[in-house]
Amino acid sequence: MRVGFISFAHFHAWTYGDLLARMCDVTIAAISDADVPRGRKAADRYRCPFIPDYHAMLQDDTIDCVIICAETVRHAEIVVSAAQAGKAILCEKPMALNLDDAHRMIAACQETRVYFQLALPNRYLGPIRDVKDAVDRGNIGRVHAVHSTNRGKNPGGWFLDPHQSGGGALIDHTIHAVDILRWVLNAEITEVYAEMGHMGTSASVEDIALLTMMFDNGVIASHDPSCSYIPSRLEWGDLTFEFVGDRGGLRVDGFSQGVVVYDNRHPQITRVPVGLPKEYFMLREFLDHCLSVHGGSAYGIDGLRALEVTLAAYQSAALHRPIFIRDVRISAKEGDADGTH
Amino acid sequence: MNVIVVGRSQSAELRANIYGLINGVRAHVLVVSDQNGSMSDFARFDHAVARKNMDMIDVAVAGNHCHTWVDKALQAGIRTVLCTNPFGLGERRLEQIVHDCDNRRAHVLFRNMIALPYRDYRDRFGAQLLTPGTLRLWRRCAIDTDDGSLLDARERHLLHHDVGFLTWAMGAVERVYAHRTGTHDFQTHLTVSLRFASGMIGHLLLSFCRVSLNTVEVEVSTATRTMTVSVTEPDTEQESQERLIIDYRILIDHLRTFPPTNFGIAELRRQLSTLDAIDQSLETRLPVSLNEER
Repeated sequence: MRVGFISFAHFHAWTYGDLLARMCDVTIAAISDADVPRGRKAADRYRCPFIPDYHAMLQDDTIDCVIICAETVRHAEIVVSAAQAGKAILCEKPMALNLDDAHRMIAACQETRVYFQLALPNRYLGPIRDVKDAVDRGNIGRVHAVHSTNRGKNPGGWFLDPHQSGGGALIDHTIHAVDILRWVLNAEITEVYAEMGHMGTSASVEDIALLTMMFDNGVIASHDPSCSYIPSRLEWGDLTFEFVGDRGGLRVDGFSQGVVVYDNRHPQITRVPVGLPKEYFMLREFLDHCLSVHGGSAYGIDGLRALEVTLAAYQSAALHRPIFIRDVRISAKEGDADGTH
Repeated sequence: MNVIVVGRSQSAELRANIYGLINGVRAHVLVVSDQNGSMSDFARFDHAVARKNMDMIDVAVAGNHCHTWVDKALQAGIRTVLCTNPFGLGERRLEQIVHDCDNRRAHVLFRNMIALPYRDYRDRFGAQLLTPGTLRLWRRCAIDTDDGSLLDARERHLLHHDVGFLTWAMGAVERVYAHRTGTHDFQTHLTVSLRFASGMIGHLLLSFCRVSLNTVEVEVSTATRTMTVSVTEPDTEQESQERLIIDYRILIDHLRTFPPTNFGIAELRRQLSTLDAIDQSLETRLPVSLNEER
């Protein structure tokens, strides 16, 4: 399997690259990046050619699939081009800045029968899978409420430019939680209310937020996606879920499993996962699909649903009222949702 | 220090027992037949305060009957008033109590505001809580009753307590959005989004389940600090009483050394209007905006 990388703008690209480089049946065939020094650095690291223009890379028939870790604003353009070139696609989240782009991406992959997956690796975390299993088995009875957090540190760089990232903590740290909640609860979000703000930093995007979400099965979920982990906190962040059911409760921290390393040279805790990291399983599933599945966009729709929720949350925070997801969809059809904030 | 405890039999006797365990405090119990006070209750009260100089009155009657006894105590020259909970009172009565206490330079304290470690949290972090950031208060309660009405009452009491703490520690609330789910007979989960005037985004969660941790967790993150407190609530009557003894001991120490500042009426109004807004939001399923003039 020959894999091409398009952009290392998102730092997750390095994790994916390191894992792919150790897979015996995978070759990192080429790297493309608009940022030439960064692209060359990645090409040196993975000992592969650097191709500045990704269109040229897409012409290479020996490349089976591409991993897109560009700035969010570029996702739509690159995904559509990759689909037209017949490459299977793994795209970093968030999917796009607006629903129009997201629909274009899914349509392009459906038309060209290209496999399209969003990078949502937290589904592959052992504790999260155990939660899914426990809820499916009815171990805590009927779920009434959930509270989740996906907090972290301010990532800086282009993440703070709303024209490139689509927003701040809300869009960046809500996607994963929404994906897990939809997956575990097997339900869709119908309504969102959000508050957002700044924690006294000069960033042009929000760094604190709180979402209240109603599911079509009656569950109420609240989610904190804030970049509220200040630099002196030793951990990078968290991914927690607490489910309240009528026969019990369930609490999980998706990041808590692992070997914790304290090192005097670095003022941060390193958490080394036990066994293989979640990204490994996500990449493996992607590669398996590339080999066996032709057509469809199994996970593209998950990226779209999560994006709808975040766009509704931005509208809610601006208007100070709950927003129905169906209204966001209608606005998008009418060309109303530009998705920038 | 002489304390006169006024209340119905069980609550008054419980408090008298607690005072009895604190060195230097003598409790004089007045068990009343009518919470509002009957002629004979008043006569016994007058007799008790005429015999001994009372330093403090602990009013252990239901909230909406407090005022009668506070008034009697202030007229008798008692300088410290401890009530259970300000929220059973209407705004007018509450205002009157605070006004009367201020006029007579008496301290007015409310039981739900003296509990550790919440008070400690504000004492330690003070103004740092009045900046933009995030706040989460999650109270999880184990319940052992099938009686829905009891659950409703308990939820109400704890909601009052927690909103009281939050508005007291974090200042004015601009906007609330609240939802409740559950079966009401034995399970309920309340989630409240609170937008504070300081820019703090708050989240209050109140969960009642048959099987649950019995805890309260508070976490506040600002640009410079993260402050967390986790309290295991008493599980048994004995633990509950031990906790009360500690709270009362600290209260008495405070009164003897650095008497606490009275709550202002604006502060108490803020608590009442936030509670009203939560009720309104639960009913309408819409966010409710507040302002200090409400």
